[in-house]
Amino acid sequence: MSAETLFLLLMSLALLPVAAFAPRTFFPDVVAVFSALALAALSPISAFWLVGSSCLTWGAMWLGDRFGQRGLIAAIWAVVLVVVMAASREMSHTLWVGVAYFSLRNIHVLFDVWMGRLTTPSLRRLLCYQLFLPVLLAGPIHRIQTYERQLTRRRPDAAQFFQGAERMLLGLAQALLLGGWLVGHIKVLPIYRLSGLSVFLESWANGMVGWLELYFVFAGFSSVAVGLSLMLGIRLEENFNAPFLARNLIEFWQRWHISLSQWCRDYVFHPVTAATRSPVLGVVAAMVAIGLWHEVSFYYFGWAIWQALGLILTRLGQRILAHPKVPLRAEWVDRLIGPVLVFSWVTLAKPIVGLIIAGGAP
Amino acid sequence: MTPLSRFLAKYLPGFLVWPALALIYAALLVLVTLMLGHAPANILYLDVHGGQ
Repeated sequence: MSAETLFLLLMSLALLPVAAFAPRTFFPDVVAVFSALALAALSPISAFWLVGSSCLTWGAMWLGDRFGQRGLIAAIWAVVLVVVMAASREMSHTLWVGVAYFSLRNIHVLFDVWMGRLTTPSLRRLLCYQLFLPVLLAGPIHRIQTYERQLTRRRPDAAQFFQGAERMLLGLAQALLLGGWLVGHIKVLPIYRLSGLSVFLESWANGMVGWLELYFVFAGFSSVAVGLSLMLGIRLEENFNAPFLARNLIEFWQRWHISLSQWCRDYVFHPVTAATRSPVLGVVAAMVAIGLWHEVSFYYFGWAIWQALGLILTRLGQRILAHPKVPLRAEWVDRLIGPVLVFSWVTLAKPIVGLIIAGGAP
Repeated sequence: MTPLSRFLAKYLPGFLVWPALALIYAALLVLVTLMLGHAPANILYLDVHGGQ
């Protein structure tokens, strides 16, 4: 585990006794101040931008309320947030923590206010929502409505605390034992090195093991975040739901990094589909947003197009299979073959996109 | 009851649930502590960038 990750984990654990002794009314404020200090100790620029961008997001909403033009102001500010998020990835000499997550949270609040789903929160409410230490490192991209509902309902008790502690321990075990130790051993197996056989197959094998590693480590750290939050009395949204058991690609993206998929559904897919009246364009735009959120590169653009193509083909397949003349398939066929097809399609992105970008050598 | 203790209660007699749970927790704690030094891949989802 990197020193930064360990530091944030230890700080989150240190937050537990501090939050336990905080008066109920000031619980979110105490958590926010502690989180800001912990983040500032690790990465002052991230803490500065988290607080600064949240204040400016609030300012943008206030301007929109005061002078109208909510949509224009929200769109301009969202573009600025995305540009800073992308630029932060390029600054290799400066340590940035959590920008990709808190920028999307800012845009969520901004767009929900613009769309009338949320009244403009006070600056204090917005900062308390943004400054929640357990989710700074790996999400989930929780929603302000859920967070505030949880704060209102918060009745911490021993059962919830131990459930959270167990979840955190199992998450750590998943990330470190399965994602670190087990995958590390798979990578040195002779069968994994297929370069003598085929460059394409080797790249595909790399892709498969890479996705397993991503799942174990990311789902593990998501569990840590959910567990730590539960120990504080806050039940957050889940980020994974056994994605590799999905029977088709649409189901897969509803089970993998759920909070990001839902963010893109609400703030990219729905608006683009509504504006163009084309769900196909909506899917392509949403997948490109997901791809470029990972990294602004040709590879991730190609990766996004590949995944969008899979989603479109899945939808077409579903329509064909729903036709009354097509004989009904057995449920077990879906359950057995579906996950294999999904895993193959998802992992094929690496060799195929690599092949296209490198002009023959993935 | 935690999810793991409910799971164990399905397959073990009642008096064995808590010792088994304690054993699993202890083993996981030891393994996790031992593995802290062995970093898993620095995946991009753990949003820590730069600082070299």
